[in-house]
Amino acid sequence: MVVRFLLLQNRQGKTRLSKWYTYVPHDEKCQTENEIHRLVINRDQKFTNFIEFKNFKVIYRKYAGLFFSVGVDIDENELSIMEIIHLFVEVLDQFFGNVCELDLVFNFHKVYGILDEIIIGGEIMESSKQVILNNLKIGDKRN
Amino acid sequence: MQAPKKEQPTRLRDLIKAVRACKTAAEERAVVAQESAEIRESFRDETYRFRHRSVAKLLFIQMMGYPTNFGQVECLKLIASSNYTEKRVGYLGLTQLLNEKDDVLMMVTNSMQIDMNSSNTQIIGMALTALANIATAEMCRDLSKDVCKLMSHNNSYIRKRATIAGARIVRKCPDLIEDFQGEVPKVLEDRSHVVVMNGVNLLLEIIKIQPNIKQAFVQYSGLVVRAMRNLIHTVHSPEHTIGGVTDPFLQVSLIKLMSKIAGAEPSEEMTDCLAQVATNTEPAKNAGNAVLYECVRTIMDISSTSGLRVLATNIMGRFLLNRDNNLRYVALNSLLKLVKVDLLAVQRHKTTIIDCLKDADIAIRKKALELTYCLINESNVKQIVKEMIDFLIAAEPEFKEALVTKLCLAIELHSPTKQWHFDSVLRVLTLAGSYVPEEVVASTAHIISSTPELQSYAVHKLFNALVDNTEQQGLVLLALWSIGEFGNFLVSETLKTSDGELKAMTPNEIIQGVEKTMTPIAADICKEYALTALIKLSVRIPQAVQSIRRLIEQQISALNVELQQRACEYIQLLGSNWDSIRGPLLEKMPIYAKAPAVDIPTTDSSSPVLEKPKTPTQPNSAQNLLDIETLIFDSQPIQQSQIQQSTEVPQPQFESLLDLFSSTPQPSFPAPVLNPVTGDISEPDKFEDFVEITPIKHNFIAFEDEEINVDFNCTKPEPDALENTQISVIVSNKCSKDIVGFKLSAAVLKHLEFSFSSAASTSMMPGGSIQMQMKMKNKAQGQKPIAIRMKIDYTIDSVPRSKLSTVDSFPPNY
Repeated sequence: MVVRFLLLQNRQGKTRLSKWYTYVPHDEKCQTENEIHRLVINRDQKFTNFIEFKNFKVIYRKYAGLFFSVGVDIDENELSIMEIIHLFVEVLDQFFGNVCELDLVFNFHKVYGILDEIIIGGEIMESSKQVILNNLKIGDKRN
Repeated sequence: MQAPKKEQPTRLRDLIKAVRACKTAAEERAVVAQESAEIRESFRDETYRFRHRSVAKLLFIQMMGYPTNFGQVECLKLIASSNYTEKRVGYLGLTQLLNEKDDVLMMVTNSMQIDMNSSNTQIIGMALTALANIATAEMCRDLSKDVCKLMSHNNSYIRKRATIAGARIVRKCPDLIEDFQGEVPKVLEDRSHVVVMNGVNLLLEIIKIQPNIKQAFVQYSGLVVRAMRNLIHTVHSPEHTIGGVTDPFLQVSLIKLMSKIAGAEPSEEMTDCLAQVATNTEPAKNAGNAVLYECVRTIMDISSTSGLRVLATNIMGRFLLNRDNNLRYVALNSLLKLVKVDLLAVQRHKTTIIDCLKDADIAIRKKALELTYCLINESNVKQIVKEMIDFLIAAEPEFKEALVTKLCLAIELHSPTKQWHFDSVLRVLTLAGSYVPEEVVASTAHIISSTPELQSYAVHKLFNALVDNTEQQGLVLLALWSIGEFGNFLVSETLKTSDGELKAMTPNEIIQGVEKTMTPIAADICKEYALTALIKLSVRIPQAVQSIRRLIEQQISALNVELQQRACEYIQLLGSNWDSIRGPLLEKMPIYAKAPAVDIPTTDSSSPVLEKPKTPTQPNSAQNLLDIETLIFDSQPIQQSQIQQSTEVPQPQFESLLDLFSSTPQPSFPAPVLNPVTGDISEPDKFEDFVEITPIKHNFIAFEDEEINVDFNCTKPEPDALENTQISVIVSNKCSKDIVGFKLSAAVLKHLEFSFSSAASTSMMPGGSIQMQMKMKNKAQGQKPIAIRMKIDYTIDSVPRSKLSTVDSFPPNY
């Protein structure tokens, strides 16, 4: 398993998406989410995108006012995780067409669906944007 | 306001809008509570049409952090539905609203099995996704066969999901690894390279769970290398190309796998392949760097040729010079790995690494510090320590601690001369004395005491530093200790050093310097050191006795009992009837053998350095307690037993200080731990062998009830005198009320002798504890065990308690 969890938070710390691939009790999840928000919000743009946190590592990227944070094992390839986050963002962008925070708020259930096309069980499943978007289209058609 | 009963429930969109419109958290809670209540109500109706909408709303509510457990069963119902949309929402709800510890989860197993055998690929996909995300071990076991079968499905949409689901199954049920091991070659040769990637990840997972199985996969190394070659050479569909690199995710996975299956000696083709990746990968974009980084990590993990390793070091060197902090971070990280195999290669980047110490990002600085520390050796220690000290000035508190620890370690391990060692520690103490670990202060004190030619220089330097700066505790302690021991050099000698002259001081200046550390706000430990320094100065600088007496007298009324007691004793010691003995008593401390602080059988970790070498005070038999027989069989009240709370000062009518411990009318005496004076007089020769010993430890609970807990931590401080036992008695208050007037009395059998020291306090707050020292001599060691009869008295809420207990849990031959 590469990804322990993936969080999407805005500048104010509102969670827009939180997906956990390991078992963590509800309260601890909320607490970790708060702690991570406090960490990422205070970081300078020049800083690394990596934070060693407890017994794991958080790789985060900031897009406009949104923070995408991924929790991984301490010895994971950080650069590769950065690329996964970017892939997710690009898919979101193409799916919604110039995505903004409000799209994610009102279509949060779709965002979970999109994530499920890219990462399942903490592993990256598909890396081709076209394939992902096609699958999403097929899935929606039946809707 | 919304109507209480509605035909049409709120739409998800409207709920989101309503929540967004809330101006306060209280308002939001109210909206959510109302909506939750409505959803809960709606679930009661079995034929409810909008169940999936309710679950979708619950998902939103859950994301905001509110409880949604009541929706769990509804997800199961939706999954069992034949309607596609309902099923979809059901599966989404399943992974979000439930977790693998929820019992209801296993109820979904059956529906999932049905879905996995559906003719609709989307539905199979959903079931596999759910399994990969959330399944329990039990579910994994039940569905393992179906997943295995789906790994050979003709649609890659299913195959890739089944492979990842397989990874979850082996993680949850390692005994099922064999079932999936057989599928591995098939997926590695799959025509869809996304399936290959997932197959590789499955393999990595299996190896992670059972590292010894690695050998079985070495046979695939040819297959893996070929897959990698194909990726580099053939032009793939541009859809998998990111930043000019063909499917970097697959490349990273393959390279990672290579490091696991390379075996003792990596094949030539693997070495070639890695070399190719290392030279040809486009480093302009992050994707390429991710591949390069993985490649470097693999090269360092396997037993690579030196040529390959040079290639890897060069890539990291390039990363290190990059302006992108992420690249510098990963470079430092991998150099940290390399430094263990090839120190020389990393040394070449020394300057760049040291530069990273001043980076704005603490993540970089921490890695750089670790690496810098590894690079220090005898030849460069002066230069690197100097630079590290420079960074210390600007470092923030969070970083200072780590930096100081490494710095002191480096100084201690590699110092070329003692003078340099002292100078460097002094600089660190001056800049960040409060962060310096106690052990460093202790070991520096040791260096000064064991190097006569350094003493005068050190005490001058330390005194000057102290006068400038009394903020840094570590500095204050070391300076006070040195002034006490070697204060005579301060008045008598003017020293010429490379950076100027160190002038001799007048007695007045010295006393004023010490006085500066005794302000009311100073830490008690500093004042303790200052008191001892002053009493020692009384013989080193007899002219200053009057000011010394004045300063000590101030502490007689100190709130801290220890200080008060010490001050009283020292004032007595300054009396004229002690004139003859004061000189020898306050001699310099003998050079003590250097031992890490932890090895000394010290019970009080905060006890000052100069007081560490404890003297084994032999208890006189006159001090013996009441026989245990009398106590037990005659059931008389304990009269002679020791009362441990006395802080009374020994009366000066005794002939010598030694008597204080042998024939005092009150058997209690101050803890030897905190009394440097006794350390000097009784048995100084014992010092060396005393500190070097590793004590035989035995810890146990001597007494426990619902209010208090008495712990005995026993050590044998002298291996050649095993009959002696040092017992540190720790009494803790377990109840929620204050305990006052605590008194511990004890009696022993005839073959035992023992003495007791006072506790610092007789009261304990809830959760608080007090500590006492007991010395036990078992004259029949090896034949008769130790047994102690204890009487414990204390008062809670002005109700006195009295408890009796026999302690006989000592080891038989103790």
